[in-house]
Amino acid sequence: MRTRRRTLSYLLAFFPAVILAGILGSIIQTQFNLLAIGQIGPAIDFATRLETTLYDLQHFGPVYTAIIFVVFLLALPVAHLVVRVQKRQFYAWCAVATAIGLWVAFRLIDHFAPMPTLIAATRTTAGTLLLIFSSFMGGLFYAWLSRISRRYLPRSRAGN
Amino acid sequence: MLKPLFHHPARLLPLFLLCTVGLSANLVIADDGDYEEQLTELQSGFEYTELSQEIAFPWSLAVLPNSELLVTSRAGALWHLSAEGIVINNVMPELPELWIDGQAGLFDIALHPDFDTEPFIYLSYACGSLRANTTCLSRGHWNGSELQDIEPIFQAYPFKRGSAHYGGRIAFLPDNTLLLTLGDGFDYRERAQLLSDHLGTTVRIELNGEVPSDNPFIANPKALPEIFSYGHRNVQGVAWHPQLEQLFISEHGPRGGDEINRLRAGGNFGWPLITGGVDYTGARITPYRDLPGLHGPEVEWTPSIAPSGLIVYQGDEFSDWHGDLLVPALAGKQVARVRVNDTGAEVIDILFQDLNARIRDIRVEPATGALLLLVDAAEGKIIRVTKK
Repeated sequence: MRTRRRTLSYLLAFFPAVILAGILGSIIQTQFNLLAIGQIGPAIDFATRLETTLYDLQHFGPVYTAIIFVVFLLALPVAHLVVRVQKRQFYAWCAVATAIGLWVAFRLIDHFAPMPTLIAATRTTAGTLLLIFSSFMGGLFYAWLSRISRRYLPRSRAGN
Repeated sequence: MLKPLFHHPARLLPLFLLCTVGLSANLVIADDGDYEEQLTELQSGFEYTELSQEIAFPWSLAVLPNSELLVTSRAGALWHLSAEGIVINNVMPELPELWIDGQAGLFDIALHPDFDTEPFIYLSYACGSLRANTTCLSRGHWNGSELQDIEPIFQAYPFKRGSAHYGGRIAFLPDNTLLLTLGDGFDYRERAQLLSDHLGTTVRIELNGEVPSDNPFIANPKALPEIFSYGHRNVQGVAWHPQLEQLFISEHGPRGGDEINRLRAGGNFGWPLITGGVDYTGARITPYRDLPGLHGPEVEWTPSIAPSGLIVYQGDEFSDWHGDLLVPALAGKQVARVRVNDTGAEVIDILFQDLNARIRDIRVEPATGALLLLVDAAEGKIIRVTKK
């Protein structure tokens, strides 16, 4: 029964973590694009920045979140396996696994997609690192939330 | 209920595949933009004759004075065909550093404007390697059966990574100069706004590769002297309109925002500061649709049709079309007929949708005015179009 509670806590943490990383990544991607446009054109005012950010959350966000979803689905079990052996540093392994997972995903997508680089912000090292940071934060959030939620999940009578 | 999933990881596989397929569905449109059925009735008043169906991914075609055909394939071959489409020869011209990969390869072919007395053939192509490539232009002497003495006359600066967005169309202007279209290299889109390199520009050169003294940026020490216009994404068609005495180009947008532009010397056509399209991921490329000082399109297609060539029709076979632009499309699987005048342009007809074919290029048979369509496929076709 303790295993069931633990699994449930992981699942409860998984989806919010994916959504957080997706939103964070979408916002970062927009700011990178606007930075590039601002360097060759007029300065971007706040209203334009906000409107573009919201547009991208609506239109780019789902694509990016789908990528994050697949990455987390594959990377987090790996983190769990490592932690099972090492028996510590759960937060760090979740964050690192999702960060590395997203980097691998970028490489795979750009290898198989017809264009050289699918996500414009990943054309630069800084942009790539910041998007990976969004995944890192998502992994960290997953670890934190899964621990927190386990505390509040009801204990099964059969398990006690 | 979810517990068994984690106890048996193999059961997650269908879920993963579902996600992957869902994502792929979003990305598969990336090649040429998404396209939805537009307008129209299928045309039925044409007769189609297949001249050839063995050229992989034909890119361009030139009709020799004796009506024989020279066809380039992206894979690097130059095909010499009879007027009826029978293969006479198939050679790989010795182009310096020809680079074939993705969108890279052999592109356009054009005969010298005075071909009878100066039998030069111009070929545009990608040159270099995966990590360092660009668009090149060479010319060679046609001796009636093969291309000899090939010499490079232009190489776009700088070399860049990735095999996408080369432009590569050639047009001759009435003043005996040559216009070559270029692309932004995909990953370098912001540099289309710079004059210090050739990315995202068109260039105008003499027929021997020298720089004309009246090019628009010749007096600007910070600009490359060959540049004729800038702010382009990937110009895939160019033609001189003899009646209007103006140049027109067709340009690939990203996801939406394909354009016909009226080219102006020194003009900034806005990419990527203004566009009607968005990125393949759905993200905005720019918040702007128009800005002061930047030239907007005469015609825009959103969703994309991937316009892949451009001619100004001059011929007897379809005399009603005289002076109209014919714009073949890959994703759109059509030829758009665009009527232009001094002040504007509009799509007035959509042709050849019944072929259901990605049309890479369109040419006119000078003797008859019949059209020659190049179908972009591994088993590419040349289709001759006449009235029924």
